[in-house]
Amino acid sequence: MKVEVLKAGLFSNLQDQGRLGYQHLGVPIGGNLDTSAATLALHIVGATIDQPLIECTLIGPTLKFDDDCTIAITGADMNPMVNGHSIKSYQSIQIHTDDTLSLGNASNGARAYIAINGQWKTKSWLGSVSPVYGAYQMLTPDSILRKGQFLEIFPKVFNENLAFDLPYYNNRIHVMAGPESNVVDASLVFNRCYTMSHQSNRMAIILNEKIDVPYKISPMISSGVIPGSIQLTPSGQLMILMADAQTTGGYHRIGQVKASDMDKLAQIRIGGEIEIEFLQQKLT
Amino acid sequence: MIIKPMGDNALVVYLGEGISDAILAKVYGLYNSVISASSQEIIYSIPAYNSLTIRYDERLTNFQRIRDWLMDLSANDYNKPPSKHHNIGVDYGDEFALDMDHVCRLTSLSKEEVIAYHSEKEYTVYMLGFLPGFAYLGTTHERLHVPRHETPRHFVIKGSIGLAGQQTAIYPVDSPGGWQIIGKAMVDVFDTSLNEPFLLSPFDTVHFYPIGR
Repeated sequence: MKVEVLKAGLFSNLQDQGRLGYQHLGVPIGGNLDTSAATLALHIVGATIDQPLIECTLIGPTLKFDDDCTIAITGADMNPMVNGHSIKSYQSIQIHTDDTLSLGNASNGARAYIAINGQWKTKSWLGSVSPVYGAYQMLTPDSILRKGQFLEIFPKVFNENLAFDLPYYNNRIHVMAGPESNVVDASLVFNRCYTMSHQSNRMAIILNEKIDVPYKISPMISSGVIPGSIQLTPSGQLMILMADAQTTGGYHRIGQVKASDMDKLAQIRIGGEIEIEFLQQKLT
Repeated sequence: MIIKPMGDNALVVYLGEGISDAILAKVYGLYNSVISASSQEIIYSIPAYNSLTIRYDERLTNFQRIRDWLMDLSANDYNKPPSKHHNIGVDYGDEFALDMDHVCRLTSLSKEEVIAYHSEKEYTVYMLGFLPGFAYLGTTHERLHVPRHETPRHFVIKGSIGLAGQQTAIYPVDSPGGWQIIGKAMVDVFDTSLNEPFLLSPFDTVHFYPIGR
């Protein structure tokens, strides 16, 4: 089956679970930003959780199918339509030959996932199709959708009709101490509301509101960072690292997003508020 | 050994203060011990100059358990890190050495002296980061210590050799970059057609030599 990209959308890219275990070589992890939405989409179409799917950002793509297949859409609401008629998210949809699927602007959340059941013939690198910033043309050339591109998939129809309730997104993120939390007053920095800068992407969420940096903050020796690490730059900017972030950094890691809150960050839109709450840790 | 938590799914182990080959040997010794334990609880770990960051599976374990396990691994039991030596030819010609004149001005050295200082030392791979396969090599001769560009270049060609601070590195792919470019390596440090796509591994040693034109 060939899936033709009629419109690419704003930033539609192929994702899966990323590349775990190569971080000592400087390889970013990549992978689905909203893991729970992505894995649910795959579950609905009867695919395994390691299969690729399309991650759509703010404006979704328009796709034309030349064979029958089963798809599902989860995550942000982008008003999905098949041949101009609205379809439901979070349930299995049977696509027929020559159907056109179109997604529009996100009205709730920022990222939607389109799962298509079958075997994907997409080039992968180190076991993943996820585009590596700066090197994807060489490594996974099909992984960022562009108009006129064809995705080759050997489709499998899945006849179970599964449906789930739509999610309710909230923007409250819990932050725990990072290795350099002591350079600031973490309970002051983190018990407040921030907004997301337009410079944010899959590498990092940049926060608009700067904080006062202590007069003499000693430089640190570069050390490992992971998704959810919150870095403080010398100018007082806060960056929350996301799945495509580099693996080491020299900025102070003043906080770390609670692991189970990472999916929420994937659904916050540019300009959107992020309410941060600091969780004081007691070590035993 | 100091161990600090990083949220609820990672921790950082510090094996010394500052940057030295002795501390680095401890970092990679611990890293190799952690890797050879092949514990399902550890998802990945990132060695750096004086630290090892460990991402664990918070559904299977917790900070205290990983910390206690690490404390029990005595430094004597660390696996000696394996390492390879690489001799890499460099074209320091004007076509590739975009910042050579700038570096000469910053260091008050001639082009020949910059090449001589850069190619006389044996460097150690301190860590990989920034891009897949981007190896931070150190330390350079003190006469070669130069700052990064304040505004990074939009495009640095793959193979370019840069200087920044006490370090030198080879760009593995075409990318934006802020290091001072003084030449181009005659090998691919990142070759996706190979089963082992990365030429340089942590703790390897590298010696550069100028090639004739």
